[in-house]
Amino acid sequence: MARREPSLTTERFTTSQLLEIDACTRCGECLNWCPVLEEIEEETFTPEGREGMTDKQKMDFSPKNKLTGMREMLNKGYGLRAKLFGPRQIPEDDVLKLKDEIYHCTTCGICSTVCEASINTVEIWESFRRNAVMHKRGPYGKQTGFVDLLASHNVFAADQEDRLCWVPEDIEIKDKADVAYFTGCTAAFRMQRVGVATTRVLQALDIPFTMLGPEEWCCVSVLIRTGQLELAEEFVNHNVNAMIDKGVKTVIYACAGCHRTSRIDWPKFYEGGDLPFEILAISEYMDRLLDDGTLSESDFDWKNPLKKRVTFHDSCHTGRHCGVYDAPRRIYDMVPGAEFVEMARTRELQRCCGAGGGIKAGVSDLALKMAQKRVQDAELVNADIITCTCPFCRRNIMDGINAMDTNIIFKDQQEILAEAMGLDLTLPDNPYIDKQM
Amino acid sequence: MVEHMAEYYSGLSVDNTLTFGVALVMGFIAVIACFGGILFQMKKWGYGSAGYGKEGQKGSIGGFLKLLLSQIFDKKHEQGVLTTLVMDILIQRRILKRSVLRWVMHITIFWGWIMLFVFSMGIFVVELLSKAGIYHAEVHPLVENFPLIVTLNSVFGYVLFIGVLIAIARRLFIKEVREGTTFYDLFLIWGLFVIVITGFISEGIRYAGTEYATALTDLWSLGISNTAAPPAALFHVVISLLFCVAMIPFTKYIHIIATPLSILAHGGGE
Repeated sequence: MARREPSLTTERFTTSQLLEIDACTRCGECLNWCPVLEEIEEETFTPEGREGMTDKQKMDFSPKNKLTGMREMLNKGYGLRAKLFGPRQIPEDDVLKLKDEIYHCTTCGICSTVCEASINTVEIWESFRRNAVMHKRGPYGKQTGFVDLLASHNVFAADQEDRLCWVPEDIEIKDKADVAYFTGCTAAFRMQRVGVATTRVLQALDIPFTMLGPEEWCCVSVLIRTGQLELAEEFVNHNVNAMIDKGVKTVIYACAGCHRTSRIDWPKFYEGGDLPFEILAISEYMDRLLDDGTLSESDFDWKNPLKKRVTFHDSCHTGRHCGVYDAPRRIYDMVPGAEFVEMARTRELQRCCGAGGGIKAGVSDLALKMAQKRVQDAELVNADIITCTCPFCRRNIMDGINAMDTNIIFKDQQEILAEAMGLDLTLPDNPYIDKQM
Repeated sequence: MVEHMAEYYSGLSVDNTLTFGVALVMGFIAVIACFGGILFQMKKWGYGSAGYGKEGQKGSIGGFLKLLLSQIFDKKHEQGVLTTLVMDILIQRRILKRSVLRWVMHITIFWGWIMLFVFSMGIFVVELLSKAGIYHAEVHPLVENFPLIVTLNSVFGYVLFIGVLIAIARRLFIKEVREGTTFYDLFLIWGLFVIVITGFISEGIRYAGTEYATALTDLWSLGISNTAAPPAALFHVVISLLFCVAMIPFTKYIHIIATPLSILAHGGGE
């Protein structure tokens, strides 16, 4: 008789991840930091179908209990008893319950940062999500639409031929260059002001660059974060090969989501293994040019002092995931008139804005509550402007601002730079003007 | 009275009686269970893949070890393996950075457990040598010949005890910790509690009525005569072997192995 399959299989988990699941000491430190758990405990957000939870039940949304749930389920399938008598079946409802808990996570990674056992929780959640998708348990809510949207090679189902429709006529995009600017879907179709600011700044600083245009496909962050990897390899290989065709040595990003995905995830899917070019956040790239003397502060040619109190939200992706903290701060420090102030939680202990991990699409009311919490952090330090290097954080934080009674405004780092340098941020007429966020 | 202590070290036997033999057999069983269990766990981990997106390895212990070692010695880590071993495993700075109380709790349990384990093994070896006729002492051999070990054994016993008491107190007095505690956690904490308590009691009984007794050992003896020393010691040894050795792979004790490996695989660091 065929042996039953475990209710939760080890598919998509690496050997190290299975070890890490057993490495959790259940110390509970992650409970002090998880931003999703915070909203659930404060009852500003209640997961669908979980109304009336006790305090103990709320803890099921903590990283600690998610790991415990996985360990218990895996042991029922692969433990000693399972080896002797066959896997113990787990009611499907219990597996789905755990799945929902694991999808209620922005993959911000703070649980990993504070984990005493150094467990890379984000990658474990993503492996679980992939496993859930393989077994038709995932993804969650509207996240199911991502794969269909990407038939157009971008997450907005826009025409790929319009990828560069926002670029001002006087911006020179080289056919081939050492440096490529990877725009990302959001800046190309919904936050074109970020794209315009970035290209204006690059041109003003005499940095020759190329762009992929219609050959720039989605970085597939949305698919990887939600466990839907069907298209990942094709998209990654396409983008990497397109960069190779352009002779690129360094790819720079003004989008933290694309940056993280390219730097950490692309090498896992690229057929050639390690990428044949360097991946840098644009602030990192500028920081390097300032260090090696290619750029000096005088090159920025400041024209408009900011005269505002500015606070910086480290995106999870470029910050905690890639460890870039000082470079963006160096840029703000240069901006004349900017009074830079730090929020209580910054750098590796920053509070997630709630946009990532598929939460914005899958559990949008949770994303909104988390964004409001981050705006409150900025209010506490009397900031006029909250800034970031991530269009997706920008979108969510702006939603938070709009839902609150606050005078704080949001500006992307490149917008602040461009405005201070007196650069024109007018968008050329294009089919997406009315869809700007 | 004193003759009950005259020719043994671990407190288990006089004149090669049953208790030492039982402990020896239990020891072998415990070690076999522990190593067998660890291999079983490695096989379980070996069901995972060798890398992101790759196929599972069908329970390959070799595959598991290969990936683990490649991660531990990954040149991309910001600090060396030795630094990680010292700072993040032996000193446990990741815990210290987050909570001083939890660090005191864990570092005392960690070092108390390790040192008692080492001393117990040392005493066991001396006893084996004695029984083989290689080593012999006429007087109370442990106290007379290894006073430092006896003292350190007691000190680390109390170090472990302090850690276990903090762990219990946290669960009694901190609501979040209490509500988050499961049988998985309690098995480890109460296991350690029973081990350390029975250790003190068996030592107290052993010294009761002898020139080596102190007010503290008399307190721990619970007024029991030292004629009961061998069975008391046997009880302590058996449950120590069960909890601290045989059950390691199958309970929360697995973190003794898995957590340091996880820290090493990720290169440690603050």
